[in-house]
Amino acid sequence: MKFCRIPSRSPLLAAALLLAVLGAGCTFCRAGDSPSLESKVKAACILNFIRFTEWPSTDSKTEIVVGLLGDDPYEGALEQILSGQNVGGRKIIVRHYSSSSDVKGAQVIVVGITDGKTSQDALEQVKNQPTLTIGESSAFLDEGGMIRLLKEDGKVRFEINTSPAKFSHLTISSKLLSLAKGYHPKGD
Amino acid sequence: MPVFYFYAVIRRFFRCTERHSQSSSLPTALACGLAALFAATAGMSFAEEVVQSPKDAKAPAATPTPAPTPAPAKEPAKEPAKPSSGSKDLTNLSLEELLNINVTSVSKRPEHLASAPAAVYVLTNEDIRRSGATSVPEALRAVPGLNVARADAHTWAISSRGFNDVFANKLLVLMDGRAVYTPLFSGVFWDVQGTMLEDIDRVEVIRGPGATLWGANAVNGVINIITKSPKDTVGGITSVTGGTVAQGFADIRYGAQVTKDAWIRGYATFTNTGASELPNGDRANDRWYQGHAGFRGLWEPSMVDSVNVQGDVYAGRNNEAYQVPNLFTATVDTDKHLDEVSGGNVLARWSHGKKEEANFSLQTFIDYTDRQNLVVHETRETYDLDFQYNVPVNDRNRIVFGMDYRLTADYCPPRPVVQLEPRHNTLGLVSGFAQDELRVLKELTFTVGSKFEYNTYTHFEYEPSARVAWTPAAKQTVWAAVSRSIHTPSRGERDSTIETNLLPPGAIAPGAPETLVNIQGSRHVGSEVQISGEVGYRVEPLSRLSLDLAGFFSHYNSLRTLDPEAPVPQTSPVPHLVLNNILGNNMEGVTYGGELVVNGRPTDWWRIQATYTNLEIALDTTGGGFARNLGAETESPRHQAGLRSSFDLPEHVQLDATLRYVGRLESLGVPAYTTGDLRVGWAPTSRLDVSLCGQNLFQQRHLEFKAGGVVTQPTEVERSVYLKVTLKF
Repeated sequence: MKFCRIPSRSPLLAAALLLAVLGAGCTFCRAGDSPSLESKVKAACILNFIRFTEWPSTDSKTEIVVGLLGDDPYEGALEQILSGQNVGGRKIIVRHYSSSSDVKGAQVIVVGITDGKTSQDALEQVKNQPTLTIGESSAFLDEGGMIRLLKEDGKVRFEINTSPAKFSHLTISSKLLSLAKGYHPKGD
Repeated sequence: MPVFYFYAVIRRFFRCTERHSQSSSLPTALACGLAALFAATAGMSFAEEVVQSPKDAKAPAATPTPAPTPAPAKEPAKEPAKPSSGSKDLTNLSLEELLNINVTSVSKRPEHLASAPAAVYVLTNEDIRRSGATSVPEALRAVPGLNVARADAHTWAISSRGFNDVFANKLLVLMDGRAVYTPLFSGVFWDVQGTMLEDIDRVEVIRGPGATLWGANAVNGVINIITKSPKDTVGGITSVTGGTVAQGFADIRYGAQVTKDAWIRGYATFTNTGASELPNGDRANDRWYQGHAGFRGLWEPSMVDSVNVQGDVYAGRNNEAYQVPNLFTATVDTDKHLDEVSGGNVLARWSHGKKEEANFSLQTFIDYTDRQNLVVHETRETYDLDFQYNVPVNDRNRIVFGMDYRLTADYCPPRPVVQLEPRHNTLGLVSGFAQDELRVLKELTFTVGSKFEYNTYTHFEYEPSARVAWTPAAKQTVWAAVSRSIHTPSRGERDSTIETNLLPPGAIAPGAPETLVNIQGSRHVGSEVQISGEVGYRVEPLSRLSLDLAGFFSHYNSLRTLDPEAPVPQTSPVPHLVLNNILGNNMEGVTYGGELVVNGRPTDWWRIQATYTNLEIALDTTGGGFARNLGAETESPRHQAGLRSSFDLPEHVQLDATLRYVGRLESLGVPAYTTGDLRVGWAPTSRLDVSLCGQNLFQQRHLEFKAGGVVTQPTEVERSVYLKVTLKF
């Protein structure tokens, strides 16, 4: 294979060197990391979902337990935004669950990164219980979840499936319903 | 004729302020740059003031750099972390305000691409909208590493990593899985690749070889235009655009859910693009009109099945000025002509299985295209059947394999400049590929595979590649790859005769008659072969900063050349000489360079992106001493750079400024240029968006490319302004 003449000057080399230096520097600046804006906005939306949901009077605990099932897709933003917030005189506590059997008793379940089976099991566990279920997978509402968060055109949106909420005796404010994207359940 | 020619509502909203700055000199460029910078700074301080006033929380809160956050503990409940002041602000916003915040991440790369062992860039719907692009080629200007040059109002030269041309043949372009290149020259007629820009979900661009998956001609890049799922386009949207170049654009789409598991949308677009300018300031003859209409339907009969059916039709009229050799007058005449283009396609795809489990897809498409201009007439039908199977064999191995059969038949009757012999031709292509993704360690993945294909012209071909990705930390990836790719001969390279020039009597020797210079295809022309090595590094050192660097070194064998033969005397219709340049494979060479992309998000309402592309090409002829095509060495710019700044201002105002530098094209005589675009968008409600956009603002006009081979009159890109109103319903 005969190689051709190769021009000697290359700005790329300079760029590579620059990046190598930057890259080396980066290893030391990881501490400044924080949740992405998307995670924070989603967490703040979840706070609003809680504000606009009414739990039945039978549930008179002084806390609202938000259980995050599976790995955290929100990079810790739930703790940052929700923990310690006061909604209707009740304090929000964020817990992490790794198994679907842990979810009973929580007022809010947020399904994080899990396999489809764990998510379905968890929804089955809290079926007809006063538990607000929030998730992001495209099948979440079809599987019986209540609120699905999604991103569209760079903005956070949400969809609501009202029928499971009805059976669980949760009252979701009409304001929330009016801001939700249209969702048409399968089987209707 | 179908739905075309519904005339645009708005014409000539603005007349460009002509001849304000004729010069394209550096001082002018600098002055404009400074002006833009001042505007930007003014915008920033304005935004800061407003955000500081607690009453007006419309703007996304300006977040100070948050305090270090402890890593989230897995389980069980943990002590509440001290909320940073930035996050605290969000809890005070209303839900409406939260839904209005733009949350696009800094790298804008879907997760599965963050650790991809290739030079990948994703242009999102939002990027396209905010760039102010009015067509697909214009939108591609924002992709780092691509060289996008406009030869005239409807003719584009687009490629990456060199060998750019109006007839660029080493780049593969797909629209929703349908290959849109023409086997006539293995390139893309960009004028007919229009669609509803609002419905493009994203454009994934791979720089460098992609032949193992996509086959021949994916030598230097793959552009994959992906439209939104019909699930995401329920409802209506319409827009009208009026301006100095985009003189009357209108489009409309309506989508609906028809049953509980079926969705559909239909769209129609119309464009009327004004003529550009000649170097002397006169109007060129390149005004064009085009209409597109189409549909896309999705049916999900079960959790694991989805059926996608889509189709488009289009028709257009392009004014063009050709340089045609005239033997009778011994001159090259400029002939004006109204070209006619039309076509249509239908595609169906059935996918079965869950993403993380074994799954397959079966796809077929039919494409019809007709292009009739002064110099060539191509009528083509393409049939394609594609099957892909994707299976996780065990915890470590994931295998993808597929098969494809394509048949393309054309009819090209002779025209004054280009003749193809035979007029009818049918080409078959059978191909298969297999690729294994081997996860050696959690953070180390090898991908090895090859494509094998059999085509009518060069018979058996293979295109293997090996890639490795190492992810030492969550937001860092180092990758490397070696690939072999080929460009197989096109129909034109085999069968065409192109009259490119006429030399006056006495030009090649004293006393010689006029001489017709031809490019002559050859049955002996073979495949061009590339072996390319690539390395890349991607890192997100801060959540507000990401860097992406890719470097490559490619060696080419058997590159296309024009090998002149001795002139042959002819007597008909008048005595003249014919100088044939026969296509050969007598060139080799290397290209190397790289691309750097830096994304930053200094605040939640300000994004900035800087890009730089370097390309070095060194070519040498082999064999015949007369062979030439060395112009390719300097037909692509050595340096390209871009700077983009996007502001989300209060009162739902968005401001976007783009600056781009493209180096000179020496062999074409195209000087380097720097220019910029500025867009102001205002979305008072979620249903209405009004934007004012200025494009190519730095000079009255600038030259970007000159088409060779089939010679058309080079025109320049002029400064332009347009107003666009978009309404959702």
